[in-house]
Amino acid sequence: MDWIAHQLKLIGRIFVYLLPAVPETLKITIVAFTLALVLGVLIGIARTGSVRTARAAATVYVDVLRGIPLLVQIFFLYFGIGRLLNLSRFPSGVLAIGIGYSAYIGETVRAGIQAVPRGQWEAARSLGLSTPQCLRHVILPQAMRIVIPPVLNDFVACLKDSSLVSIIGLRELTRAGREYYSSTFSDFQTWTVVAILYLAMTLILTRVSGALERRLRQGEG
Amino acid sequence: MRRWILGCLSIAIGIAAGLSAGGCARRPEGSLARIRATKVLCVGTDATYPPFESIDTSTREVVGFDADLIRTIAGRLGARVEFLVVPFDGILPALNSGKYDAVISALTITDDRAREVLFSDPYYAAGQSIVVKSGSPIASVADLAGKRIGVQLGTTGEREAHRVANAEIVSFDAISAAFIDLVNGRLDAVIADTPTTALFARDHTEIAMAGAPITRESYGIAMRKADADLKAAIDAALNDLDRDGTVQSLREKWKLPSP
Repeated sequence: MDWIAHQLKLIGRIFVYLLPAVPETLKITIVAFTLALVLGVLIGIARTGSVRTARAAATVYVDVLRGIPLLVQIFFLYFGIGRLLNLSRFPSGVLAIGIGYSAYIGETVRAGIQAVPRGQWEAARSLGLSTPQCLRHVILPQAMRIVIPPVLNDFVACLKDSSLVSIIGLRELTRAGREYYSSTFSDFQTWTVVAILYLAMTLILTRVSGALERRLRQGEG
Repeated sequence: MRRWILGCLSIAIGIAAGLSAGGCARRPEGSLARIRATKVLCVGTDATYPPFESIDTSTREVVGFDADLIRTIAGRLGARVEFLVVPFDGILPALNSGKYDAVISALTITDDRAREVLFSDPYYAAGQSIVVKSGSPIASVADLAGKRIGVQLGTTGEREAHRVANAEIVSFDAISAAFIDLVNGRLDAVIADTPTTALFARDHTEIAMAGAPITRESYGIAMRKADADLKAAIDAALNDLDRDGTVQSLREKWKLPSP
């Protein structure tokens, strides 16, 4: 009984120590993922477009970024490019994750655009819309609905991968956990609390985004 | 289909078992007897801390004062050393979970750590020093208030940095990353063990030591609490090596200041 009470008290203390790091993890994830979404949609459009140079550039972009581990990209951005541009930790970490994830989102968006039936293009063209108008008013609204589930998947993965920036000294949840267990030796308890906090974040985010997805789908016939 | 899945599964399990066999045994009890029987002393170290431990890029061996010392000690126990290179912040928890038998990693003996693990007699007296960019006005701990200080996660340098008022403390996995950020101007100072900071300042003209060491600390070899017999054996070996001049000659080999 004593042992259980002691463990609970310890876990409570760890919880109090780690909780302030949760907003930092969310901040990194949300900023990085917003960047990834913007870049990813552009990449997806370029990959499916008819402009050959844009298509080639987007293909190289996706191939290169998808082929290099995110951890290496973070090192590269912080110690390589970040040194030349004098970027500090937060922008380096967020840029690395945002750019890294934009390659995956670009591919998801490409699949979404290609999943919209060919006839939709033809119908829009026959109404006299230009290619950008077709994309904006007819194709993308349909493609976005298709890509919501895989993009949410990427979002959860991005949240978990935000732990990678702990390597350049950004104090997010994983780093705070390493601080705690390295000074107190409560390794099992610390990682239990860290795991619970990540799980709570991903569960809440997936529920919220699931509700969002249902609302967006309501417009469908 | 089912047979195919079963086949894949058994191959995967076979590979996993093959990879986990051999090397360091994970049974924590009776370490000394096992070390004598298998003739292998498993040692955890974070080989990113020259001149104490680092990886020789040509031989890929762990080299340094600590590496030489533990190899000599193991020789006295009739064993050879098998190193496991691990991040410093997890080095003692992994010792207690039985991943290796001892830790030698420029590890300062502190009361907090001594509550969790068993330390050998001290084998080296070091302390923390501050390094800054050459020409920096920082000359002592007092000047560090409100500054950006780089440290390594889980080290006594990190502990000292947390005593400075209003400082922005950035902790890295390896001290080399902190040194790089100091050179790049993203940090105002780095706190780390004196021999390591001195070596870095010697090799980089744009970096200088700021004042005298700010603490006095002793390094020890860490073992599990249950391994009192291993501690006795290691202490006896250390004592011998100290008396016959081996420790001194190793200090000279790695250009460490004598205590």
